[in-house]
Amino acid sequence: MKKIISFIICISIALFFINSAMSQDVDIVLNSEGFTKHERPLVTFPHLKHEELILCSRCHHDYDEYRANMENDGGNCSDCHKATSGENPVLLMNAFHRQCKDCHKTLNRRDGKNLPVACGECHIKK
Amino acid sequence: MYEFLTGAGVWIAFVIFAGGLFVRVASLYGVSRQKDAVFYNHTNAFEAVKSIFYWLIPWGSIAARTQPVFSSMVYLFHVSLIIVPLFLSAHNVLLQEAFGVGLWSIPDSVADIMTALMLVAGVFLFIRRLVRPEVRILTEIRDYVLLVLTMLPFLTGLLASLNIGPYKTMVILHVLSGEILLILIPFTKLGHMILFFFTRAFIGFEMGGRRGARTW
Repeated sequence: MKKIISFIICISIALFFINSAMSQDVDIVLNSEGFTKHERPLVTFPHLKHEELILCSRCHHDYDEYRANMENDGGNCSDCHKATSGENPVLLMNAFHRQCKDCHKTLNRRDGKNLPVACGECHIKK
Repeated sequence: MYEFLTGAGVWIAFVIFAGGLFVRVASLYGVSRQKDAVFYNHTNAFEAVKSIFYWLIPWGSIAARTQPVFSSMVYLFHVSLIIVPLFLSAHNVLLQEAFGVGLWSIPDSVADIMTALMLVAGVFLFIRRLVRPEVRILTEIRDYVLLVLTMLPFLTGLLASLNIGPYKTMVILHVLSGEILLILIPFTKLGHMILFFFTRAFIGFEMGGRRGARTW
């Protein structure tokens, strides 16, 4: 019996670490290397909270030339979106802002939620 | 509330602001054409521009130099009032998101300092109206109210920027007071943002051009 219990505990611990290795940290401070300088304070993004709500590929999208989401493992925003004009017409700052705000605005309007949309609700000055 | 104010609210405010100013200038010009007909045969663009120019540059006019503290405060007030809202990065990000283009931006720290100086100047101008008898006699309640309303978007904007007080409420008050101010401009003395140029142009060509007086 003792062996079974210790086995279960070991498996649980192992699973706990595997789980955390596959997913991201709970909160991520967004500090993209694509920007040279940040005018506003960095945003702390609750990644885990969003991970539980929506598909990864919704944000980590991988659009083909017809803007269909191929749902492959998309990388970081700055892989395609550049701070100043690049091949992708959507600039890096707009990519970040739209990723958050477009969804939050829709949910606020449709479901009467109170998700952050104003500048300082994400760029919090301490 | 925030969604309405930053969406339809902005459109309503700017349409009333631009349309109202246009109608006001056009109607005043119409009245002037009739009643001031005698002045229009000697308009003089050079004298008009000269008078405007000397009154726009800091301490360019004799009147500004005889009251250096007052004119410095007026200058500080107006420069910040024009530069900060136009070149604030947060405003330009919103413009850029809506139209694809925004203006250049000044650093947020510079905007904060300019706004603070503008508020100090505004308080100075308010107190001046109270304590200087020659100004007080000309001041009506609405002049105090307009000055406070002009400072309100800047005060709430600065507090929001520094994250003092309840942020979302502050931003909503900021946008709301800004829109109220824009709507009021055509219908109040704040119309001097356009009418100033007509007044000075007239003084320039009438007093300067025709009567040969110094108009700055």
